[in-house]
Amino acid sequence: MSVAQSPDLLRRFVPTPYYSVVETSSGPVGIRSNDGAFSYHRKPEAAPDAATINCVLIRDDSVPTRPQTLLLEQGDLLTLLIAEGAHLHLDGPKKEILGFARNSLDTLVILYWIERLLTHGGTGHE
Amino acid sequence: MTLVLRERAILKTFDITPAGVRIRIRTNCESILKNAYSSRSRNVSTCAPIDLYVSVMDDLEESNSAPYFRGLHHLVYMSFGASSFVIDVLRRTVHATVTKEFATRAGVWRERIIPIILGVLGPSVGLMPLHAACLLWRDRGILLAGVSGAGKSTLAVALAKHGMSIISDDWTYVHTTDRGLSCHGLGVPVKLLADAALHFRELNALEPQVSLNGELAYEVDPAVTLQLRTTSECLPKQIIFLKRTSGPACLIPLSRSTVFKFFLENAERLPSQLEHLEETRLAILARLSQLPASTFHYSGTPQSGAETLLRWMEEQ
Repeated sequence: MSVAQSPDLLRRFVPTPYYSVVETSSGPVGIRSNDGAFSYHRKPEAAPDAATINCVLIRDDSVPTRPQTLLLEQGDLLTLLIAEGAHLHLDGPKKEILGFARNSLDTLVILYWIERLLTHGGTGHE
Repeated sequence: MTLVLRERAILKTFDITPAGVRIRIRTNCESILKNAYSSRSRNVSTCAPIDLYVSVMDDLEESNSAPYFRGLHHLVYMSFGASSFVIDVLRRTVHATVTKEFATRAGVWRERIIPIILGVLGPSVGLMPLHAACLLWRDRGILLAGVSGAGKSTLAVALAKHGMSIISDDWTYVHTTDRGLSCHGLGVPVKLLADAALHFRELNALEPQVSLNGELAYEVDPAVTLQLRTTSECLPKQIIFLKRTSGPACLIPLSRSTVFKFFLENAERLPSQLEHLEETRLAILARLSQLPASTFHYSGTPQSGAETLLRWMEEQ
Protein backbone atom coordinates (compact mmCIF):
# COMPACT_ATOMS: atom_id res chain seq x y z
CA MET A 1 0.00 0.00 0.00
CA SER A 2 3.00 2.23 0.37
CA VAL A 3 3.75 4.83 -2.28
CA ALA A 4 7.27 4.90 -3.68
CA GLN A 5 8.10 8.56 -3.09
CA SER A 6 6.33 11.80 -2.30
CA PRO A 7 5.55 13.51 -5.59
CA ASP A 8 7.45 16.65 -6.60
CA LEU A 9 4.72 18.13 -8.76
CA LEU A 10 6.17 21.63 -8.60
CA ARG A 11 9.79 20.61 -9.27
CA ARG A 12 10.91 22.18 -6.02
CA PHE A 13 13.61 19.58 -5.49
CA VAL A 14 15.61 19.75 -8.71
CA PRO A 15 19.27 19.38 -7.66
CA THR A 16 21.23 22.64 -7.95
CA PRO A 17 24.89 21.63 -7.67
CA TYR A 18 26.41 24.79 -9.17
CA TYR A 19 27.02 27.98 -7.22
CA SER A 20 28.64 31.18 -8.46
CA VAL A 21 28.80 34.73 -7.18
CA VAL A 22 28.32 37.26 -9.97
CA GLU A 23 28.68 41.03 -9.73
CA THR A 24 25.74 43.27 -10.55
CA SER A 25 25.27 46.99 -10.09
CA SER A 26 23.06 46.12 -7.13
CA GLY A 27 25.79 44.07 -5.47
CA PRO A 28 27.11 40.50 -5.56
CA VAL A 29 24.45 37.91 -6.35
CA GLY A 30 24.95 34.27 -5.43
CA ILE A 31 23.35 32.06 -8.07
CA ARG A 32 22.57 28.46 -7.28
CA SER A 33 21.51 26.50 -10.36
CA ASN A 34 21.33 23.22 -12.23
CA ASP A 35 23.25 25.05 -15.00
CA GLY A 36 27.00 25.41 -14.55
CA ALA A 37 27.24 28.14 -17.22
CA PHE A 38 26.75 30.94 -14.68
CA SER A 39 30.24 30.19 -13.36
CA TYR A 40 31.71 31.72 -16.58
CA HIS A 41 30.44 35.08 -15.31
CA ARG A 42 31.50 34.70 -11.71
CA LYS A 43 33.47 37.31 -9.86
CA PRO A 44 36.82 35.48 -9.47
CA GLU A 45 37.85 37.00 -6.14
CA ALA A 46 34.39 36.77 -4.51
CA ALA A 47 34.13 34.54 -1.46
CA PRO A 48 31.14 32.15 -1.52
CA ASP A 49 29.54 34.08 1.36
CA ALA A 50 30.04 37.46 -0.32
CA ALA A 51 26.60 37.50 -1.92
CA THR A 52 24.09 39.94 -0.49
CA ILE A 53 21.32 38.64 -2.71
CA ASN A 54 20.62 34.96 -3.23
CA CYS A 55 19.21 33.53 -6.42
CA VAL A 56 18.01 30.04 -7.34
CA LEU A 57 17.63 29.55 -11.07
CA ILE A 58 16.38 26.29 -12.57
CA ARG A 59 16.79 25.51 -16.26
CA ASP A 60 13.52 24.01 -17.45
CA ASP A 61 12.34 23.71 -21.05
CA SER A 62 8.69 23.54 -20.10
CA VAL A 63 8.52 27.21 -19.10
CA PRO A 64 5.92 28.75 -21.42
CA THR A 65 6.78 31.58 -23.77
CA ARG A 66 4.58 34.69 -23.78
CA PRO A 67 3.57 37.35 -26.27
CA GLN A 68 5.11 40.10 -24.11
CA THR A 69 7.59 40.56 -21.27
CA LEU A 70 5.87 41.75 -18.11
CA LEU A 71 7.11 43.11 -14.83
CA LEU A 72 4.46 42.72 -12.15
CA GLU A 73 4.63 44.72 -8.94
CA GLN A 74 2.92 42.60 -6.31
CA GLY A 75 3.32 43.80 -2.73
CA ASP A 76 6.70 42.57 -1.42
CA LEU A 77 7.22 40.62 -4.63
CA LEU A 78 8.33 41.62 -8.11
CA THR A 79 7.61 39.10 -10.83
CA LEU A 80 9.29 39.22 -14.21
CA LEU A 81 7.68 37.12 -16.94
CA ILE A 82 10.09 37.00 -19.86
CA ALA A 83 8.59 36.52 -23.31
CA GLU A 84 11.25 34.01 -24.43
CA GLY A 85 10.40 31.61 -21.58
CA ALA A 86 11.43 32.50 -18.04
CA HIS A 87 9.87 33.71 -14.82
CA LEU A 88 11.87 35.38 -12.07
CA HIS A 89 10.50 36.43 -8.71
CA LEU A 90 12.25 38.91 -6.45
CA ASP A 91 11.29 38.78 -2.79
CA GLY A 92 12.51 42.20 -1.64
CA PRO A 93 12.51 41.72 2.14
CA LYS A 94 14.19 38.32 1.85
CA LYS A 95 16.69 39.58 -0.79
CA GLU A 96 16.05 36.49 -2.84
CA ILE A 97 15.37 35.78 -6.50
CA LEU A 98 13.72 32.50 -7.47
CA GLY A 99 13.01 31.46 -11.01
CA PHE A 100 12.90 29.05 -13.91
CA ALA A 101 14.23 29.64 -17.45
CA ARG A 102 14.36 27.74 -20.70
CA ASN A 103 17.74 26.38 -21.78
CA SER A 104 17.54 28.51 -24.93
CA LEU A 105 17.90 31.72 -22.89
CA ASP A 106 21.56 32.71 -22.78
CA THR A 107 23.03 33.15 -19.29
CA LEU A 108 24.01 36.72 -20.24
CA VAL A 109 20.37 37.48 -21.05
CA ILE A 110 19.28 36.04 -17.71
CA LEU A 111 21.92 38.08 -15.87
CA TYR A 112 20.67 41.19 -17.70
CA TRP A 113 17.12 40.50 -16.49
CA ILE A 114 18.31 39.81 -12.93
CA GLU A 115 20.03 43.20 -13.02
CA ARG A 116 16.85 44.85 -14.31
CA LEU A 117 14.78 43.17 -11.62
CA LEU A 118 17.13 44.30 -8.85
CA THR A 119 17.31 47.84 -10.19
CA HIS A 120 13.53 48.07 -10.36
CA GLY A 121 13.16 46.48 -6.94
CA GLY A 122 15.70 48.81 -5.36
CA THR A 123 17.35 45.92 -3.53
CA GLY A 124 20.94 46.95 -4.22
CA HIS A 125 23.49 48.96 -2.33
CA GLU A 126 22.82 52.66 -2.66
CA MET B 1 10.06 46.10 -24.42
CA THR B 2 8.90 45.43 -20.87
CA LEU B 3 5.43 46.33 -19.76
CA VAL B 4 5.34 47.25 -16.08
CA LEU B 5 2.03 46.44 -14.42
CA ARG B 6 1.12 47.60 -10.94
CA GLU B 7 -1.63 45.90 -8.99
CA ARG B 8 -4.87 47.68 -9.67
CA ALA B 9 -6.70 49.79 -7.12
CA ILE B 10 -9.04 47.61 -5.08
CA LEU B 11 -12.70 48.22 -5.84
CA LYS B 12 -14.15 45.27 -4.00
CA THR B 13 -13.21 43.15 -0.96
CA PHE B 14 -15.11 40.06 0.06
CA ASP B 15 -14.60 36.69 1.79
CA ILE B 16 -15.25 33.17 0.64
CA THR B 17 -14.80 30.07 2.86
CA PRO B 18 -14.10 27.05 0.65
CA ALA B 19 -13.19 23.98 2.75
CA GLY B 20 -13.73 26.07 5.86
CA VAL B 21 -10.76 28.33 5.08
CA ARG B 22 -11.36 32.06 4.85
CA ILE B 23 -10.03 33.63 1.66
CA ARG B 24 -10.18 37.42 1.54
CA ILE B 25 -10.41 38.54 -2.07
CA ARG B 26 -9.35 42.05 -3.05
CA THR B 27 -9.96 42.91 -6.66
CA ASN B 28 -10.70 45.59 -9.22
CA CYS B 29 -13.30 43.33 -10.89
CA GLU B 30 -16.91 43.33 -9.71
CA SER B 31 -17.91 40.04 -11.30
CA ILE B 32 -15.08 37.77 -10.19
CA LEU B 33 -16.21 34.58 -8.44
CA LYS B 34 -19.73 35.92 -8.36
CA ASN B 35 -22.07 33.13 -7.24
CA ALA B 36 -19.20 30.62 -7.19
CA TYR B 37 -19.55 30.03 -3.44
CA SER B 38 -23.11 30.50 -2.34
CA SER B 39 -23.14 28.22 0.70
CA ARG B 40 -21.25 28.99 3.90
CA SER B 41 -19.16 26.35 5.60
CA ARG B 42 -20.35 25.17 9.04
CA ASN B 43 -16.85 24.38 10.27
CA VAL B 44 -14.67 27.41 9.56
CA SER B 45 -11.00 27.25 10.47
CA THR B 46 -9.83 29.76 13.07
CA CYS B 47 -6.53 30.28 11.22
CA ALA B 48 -5.67 33.66 9.69
CA PRO B 49 -7.20 34.14 6.24
CA ILE B 50 -5.52 33.81 2.87
CA ASP B 51 -5.20 37.14 1.06
CA LEU B 52 -5.95 36.83 -2.64
CA TYR B 53 -5.25 39.93 -4.72
CA VAL B 54 -6.75 39.74 -8.19
CA SER B 55 -5.80 42.41 -10.70
CA VAL B 56 -7.77 42.22 -13.90
CA MET B 57 -5.67 43.79 -16.65
CA ASP B 58 -6.94 45.07 -19.98
CA ASP B 59 -3.42 45.23 -21.41
CA LEU B 60 -2.55 41.51 -21.20
CA GLU B 61 -2.19 39.84 -24.58
CA GLU B 62 -3.94 36.45 -24.67
CA SER B 63 -1.78 33.32 -24.90
CA ASN B 64 -2.71 29.69 -25.54
CA SER B 65 0.03 28.08 -23.47
CA ALA B 66 -0.93 25.03 -21.40
CA PRO B 67 -1.39 25.32 -17.62
CA TYR B 68 2.02 25.47 -15.94
CA PHE B 69 3.03 25.02 -12.27
CA ARG B 70 6.41 25.45 -10.58
CA GLY B 71 7.63 26.17 -7.07
CA LEU B 72 10.83 27.14 -5.26
CA HIS B 73 11.26 27.73 -1.56
CA HIS B 74 8.16 29.62 -0.31
CA LEU B 75 6.89 30.71 -3.73
CA VAL B 76 4.73 28.86 -6.24
CA TYR B 77 4.05 30.22 -9.70
CA MET B 78 1.28 29.05 -12.01
CA SER B 79 0.01 30.30 -15.33
CA PHE B 80 -3.08 29.61 -17.38
CA GLY B 81 -2.47 31.19 -20.78
CA ALA B 82 -1.78 34.90 -20.19
CA SER B 83 -3.09 34.82 -16.63
CA SER B 84 -0.56 34.24 -13.87
CA PHE B 85 -0.57 33.56 -10.13
CA VAL B 86 2.20 33.91 -7.55
CA ILE B 87 1.48 32.09 -4.29
CA ASP B 88 3.55 33.11 -1.26
CA VAL B 89 3.25 30.35 1.33
CA LEU B 90 5.06 32.24 4.10
CA ARG B 91 2.89 35.35 3.80
CA ARG B 92 -0.32 33.42 2.98
CA THR B 93 -0.91 35.64 -0.03
CA VAL B 94 -1.75 35.06 -3.67
CA HIS B 95 -1.17 37.68 -6.35
CA ALA B 96 -3.16 37.04 -9.51
CA THR B 97 -2.81 39.00 -12.74
CA VAL B 98 -5.55 37.87 -15.08
CA THR B 99 -7.30 38.78 -18.27
CA LYS B 100 -10.86 40.02 -18.13
CA GLU B 101 -12.07 36.88 -19.89
CA PHE B 102 -10.31 34.64 -17.33
CA ALA B 103 -11.62 36.65 -14.37
CA THR B 104 -15.23 35.94 -15.23
CA ARG B 105 -14.85 32.16 -15.71
CA ALA B 106 -16.38 31.17 -12.35
CA GLY B 107 -16.04 27.46 -13.13
CA VAL B 108 -12.27 27.71 -13.60
CA TRP B 109 -11.87 29.56 -10.30
CA ARG B 110 -14.05 27.07 -8.42
CA GLU B 111 -12.75 23.89 -10.04
CA ARG B 112 -9.08 24.72 -10.64
CA ILE B 113 -7.71 27.88 -9.05
CA ILE B 114 -9.21 27.72 -5.55
CA PRO B 115 -8.39 23.98 -5.13
CA ILE B 116 -4.79 24.61 -6.20
CA ILE B 117 -4.45 27.61 -3.86
CA LEU B 118 -5.78 25.53 -0.96
CA GLY B 119 -3.49 22.65 -1.91
CA VAL B 120 -0.41 24.87 -1.92
CA LEU B 121 -1.27 27.10 1.06
CA GLY B 122 -2.91 24.34 3.10
CA PRO B 123 -0.10 23.83 5.61
CA SER B 124 0.06 27.58 6.35
CA VAL B 125 -3.65 27.76 7.20
CA GLY B 126 -4.02 24.51 9.13
CA LEU B 127 -5.42 22.52 6.22
CA MET B 128 -4.26 19.15 4.93
CA PRO B 129 -5.19 18.16 1.38
CA LEU B 130 -5.72 14.41 1.40
CA HIS B 131 -5.65 12.26 -1.72
CA ALA B 132 -8.89 10.47 -0.87
CA ALA B 133 -12.54 10.40 -1.82
CA CYS B 134 -15.05 11.30 0.87
CA LEU B 135 -18.68 10.27 1.37
CA LEU B 136 -21.36 10.89 3.96
CA TRP B 137 -23.43 7.95 5.11
CA ARG B 138 -25.90 8.27 7.99
CA ASP B 139 -24.03 11.23 9.49
CA ARG B 140 -20.77 9.32 9.25
CA GLY B 141 -17.95 10.66 7.12
CA ILE B 142 -16.15 7.91 5.23
CA LEU B 143 -12.79 8.44 3.54
CA LEU B 144 -11.87 6.20 0.60
CA ALA B 145 -8.12 6.15 0.08
CA GLY B 146 -5.69 4.18 -2.03
CA VAL B 147 -3.00 4.56 -4.64
CA SER B 148 -3.86 6.05 -8.03
CA GLY B 149 -5.82 3.54 -10.08
CA ALA B 150 -7.29 1.75 -7.04
CA GLY B 151 -10.75 2.87 -8.11
CA LYS B 152 -11.58 5.58 -5.57
CA SER B 153 -13.75 7.62 -7.95
CA THR B 154 -15.69 4.73 -9.47
CA LEU B 155 -16.35 3.11 -6.08
CA ALA B 156 -17.34 6.50 -4.62
CA VAL B 157 -19.87 6.98 -7.42
CA ALA B 158 -21.14 3.39 -7.04
CA LEU B 159 -21.59 3.94 -3.27
CA ALA B 160 -23.36 7.23 -3.93
CA LYS B 161 -25.69 5.36 -6.28
CA HIS B 162 -26.66 3.35 -3.18
CA GLY B 163 -27.64 6.43 -1.22
CA MET B 164 -24.42 7.90 0.17
CA SER B 165 -23.78 11.60 -0.38
CA ILE B 166 -20.64 12.42 -2.28
CA ILE B 167 -18.32 15.08 -0.88
CA SER B 168 -15.25 14.51 -3.01
CA ASP B 169 -13.95 11.81 -5.34
CA ASP B 170 -10.25 12.73 -5.41
CA TRP B 171 -9.02 15.43 -3.02
CA THR B 172 -10.49 15.96 0.42
CA TYR B 173 -9.39 18.92 2.57
CA VAL B 174 -9.06 18.21 6.28
CA HIS B 175 -8.66 20.58 9.21
CA THR B 176 -9.16 20.40 12.94
CA THR B 177 -12.04 22.09 14.71
CA ASP B 178 -13.22 22.03 18.31
CA ARG B 179 -15.48 19.12 17.25
CA GLY B 180 -12.57 17.09 15.90
CA LEU B 181 -11.48 16.65 12.32
CA SER B 182 -13.57 18.19 9.59
CA CYS B 183 -13.45 16.95 5.97
CA HIS B 184 -14.42 19.19 3.07
CA GLY B 185 -14.97 18.93 -0.65
CA LEU B 186 -14.87 21.86 -3.04
CA GLY B 187 -17.77 20.94 -5.29
CA VAL B 188 -15.45 20.14 -8.16
CA PRO B 189 -16.55 17.70 -10.88
CA VAL B 190 -16.13 13.97 -10.36
CA LYS B 191 -13.41 12.61 -12.63
CA LEU B 192 -14.05 9.18 -14.11
CA LEU B 193 -11.65 7.53 -16.54
CA ALA B 194 -12.89 6.67 -20.02
CA ASP B 195 -13.71 3.03 -19.17
CA ALA B 196 -16.19 4.16 -16.47
CA ALA B 197 -18.82 4.41 -19.22
CA LEU B 198 -19.02 0.61 -19.00
CA HIS B 199 -20.39 0.94 -15.46
CA PHE B 200 -22.38 4.18 -15.52
CA ARG B 201 -24.70 4.44 -18.51
CA GLU B 202 -25.23 8.19 -18.01
CA LEU B 203 -21.72 8.70 -19.37
CA ASN B 204 -22.50 7.08 -22.72
CA ALA B 205 -24.06 10.28 -24.00
CA LEU B 206 -20.81 12.19 -23.30
CA GLU B 207 -17.36 12.28 -24.82
CA PRO B 208 -14.34 11.92 -22.51
CA GLN B 209 -11.96 14.90 -22.58
CA VAL B 210 -8.25 15.31 -21.89
CA SER B 211 -8.01 16.42 -18.25
CA LEU B 212 -5.43 18.70 -16.58
CA ASN B 213 -2.99 15.82 -15.99
CA GLY B 214 -3.36 14.50 -19.55
CA GLU B 215 -5.70 11.57 -18.77
CA LEU B 216 -8.72 10.92 -20.96
CA ALA B 217 -11.64 11.24 -18.58
CA TYR B 218 -15.21 12.34 -17.97
CA GLU B 219 -15.36 15.29 -15.61
CA VAL B 220 -18.99 15.62 -14.60
CA ASP B 221 -21.12 17.31 -12.00
CA PRO B 222 -22.22 14.33 -9.87
CA ALA B 223 -25.59 15.92 -9.02
CA VAL B 224 -26.48 16.88 -12.58
CA THR B 225 -25.05 14.10 -14.74
CA LEU B 226 -25.25 11.18 -12.34
CA GLN B 227 -28.20 12.37 -10.21
CA LEU B 228 -26.23 11.76 -7.01
CA ARG B 229 -26.69 13.44 -3.66
CA THR B 230 -23.85 15.80 -2.83
CA THR B 231 -22.77 17.64 0.27
CA SER B 232 -19.77 19.78 1.17
CA GLU B 233 -18.45 18.61 4.54
CA CYS B 234 -18.56 15.94 7.24
CA LEU B 235 -16.93 14.71 10.41
CA PRO B 236 -14.87 11.63 9.40
CA LYS B 237 -15.55 8.39 11.27
CA GLN B 238 -13.87 5.72 9.18
CA ILE B 239 -11.13 5.22 6.57
CA ILE B 240 -11.29 2.53 3.92
CA PHE B 241 -8.28 1.82 1.74
CA LEU B 242 -9.06 0.24 -1.61
CA LYS B 243 -7.08 -2.54 -3.15
CA ARG B 244 -7.94 -4.38 -6.33
CA THR B 245 -7.50 -8.13 -6.02
CA SER B 246 -8.19 -11.23 -8.07
CA GLY B 247 -9.44 -13.20 -5.08
CA PRO B 248 -12.63 -12.91 -3.03
CA ALA B 249 -13.52 -9.60 -1.40
CA CYS B 250 -12.41 -9.06 2.18
CA LEU B 251 -12.05 -6.28 4.74
CA ILE B 252 -8.81 -6.31 6.75
CA PRO B 253 -8.21 -3.93 9.68
CA LEU B 254 -5.21 -1.61 9.43
CA SER B 255 -2.88 -0.35 12.13
CA ARG B 256 -2.65 3.35 13.02
CA SER B 257 0.99 3.46 11.96
CA THR B 258 0.15 2.10 8.49
CA VAL B 259 -2.50 4.77 7.99
CA PHE B 260 -0.18 7.51 9.23
CA LYS B 261 2.67 6.34 6.99
CA PHE B 262 0.49 6.06 3.90
CA PHE B 263 -0.85 9.60 4.10
CA LEU B 264 2.51 11.05 5.05
CA GLU B 265 4.25 9.40 2.09
CA ASN B 266 1.45 10.45 -0.21
CA ALA B 267 1.65 14.13 0.79
CA GLU B 268 3.69 16.55 -1.23
CA ARG B 269 7.12 17.16 0.24
CA LEU B 270 7.73 20.59 1.73
CA PRO B 271 10.99 22.43 1.08
CA SER B 272 13.27 23.15 4.03
CA GLN B 273 12.10 26.81 4.01
CA LEU B 274 8.63 25.58 5.00
CA GLU B 275 9.68 22.86 7.43
CA HIS B 276 8.02 24.65 10.33
CA LEU B 277 4.63 24.01 8.68
CA GLU B 278 5.15 20.26 8.79
CA GLU B 279 3.87 20.25 12.38
CA THR B 280 0.33 21.14 11.22
CA ARG B 281 0.24 18.23 8.82
CA LEU B 282 1.63 15.80 11.36
CA ALA B 283 -0.97 16.85 13.94
CA ILE B 284 -3.81 16.28 11.45
CA LEU B 285 -2.36 12.94 10.36
CA ALA B 286 -1.97 11.82 13.98
CA ARG B 287 -5.68 12.48 14.59
CA LEU B 288 -6.66 10.93 11.29
CA SER B 289 -4.79 7.73 12.07
CA GLN B 290 -6.90 7.34 15.25
CA LEU B 291 -9.95 6.58 13.11
CA PRO B 292 -10.94 2.95 12.48
CA ALA B 293 -9.32 1.91 9.21
CA SER B 294 -9.43 -1.17 7.00
CA THR B 295 -8.30 -2.28 3.58
CA PHE B 296 -11.12 -3.36 1.30
CA HIS B 297 -9.81 -5.96 -1.14
CA TYR B 298 -12.25 -6.33 -4.00
CA SER B 299 -12.64 -7.44 -7.60
CA GLY B 300 -15.44 -7.23 -10.16
CA THR B 301 -17.47 -4.17 -10.99
CA PRO B 302 -17.69 -1.02 -8.87
CA GLN B 303 -21.37 -1.84 -8.31
CA SER B 304 -20.63 -5.27 -6.85
CA GLY B 305 -17.81 -3.79 -4.75
CA ALA B 306 -20.15 -1.10 -3.43
CA GLU B 307 -22.86 -3.65 -2.58
CA THR B 308 -20.39 -5.87 -0.70
CA LEU B 309 -18.87 -2.97 1.21
CA LEU B 310 -22.27 -1.57 2.14
CA ARG B 311 -23.46 -4.93 3.39
CA TRP B 312 -20.41 -5.23 5.65
CA MET B 313 -20.81 -1.68 6.89
CA GLU B 314 -24.48 -2.36 7.70
CA GLU B 315 -23.43 -5.44 9.71
CA GLN B 316 -20.89 -3.35 11.64
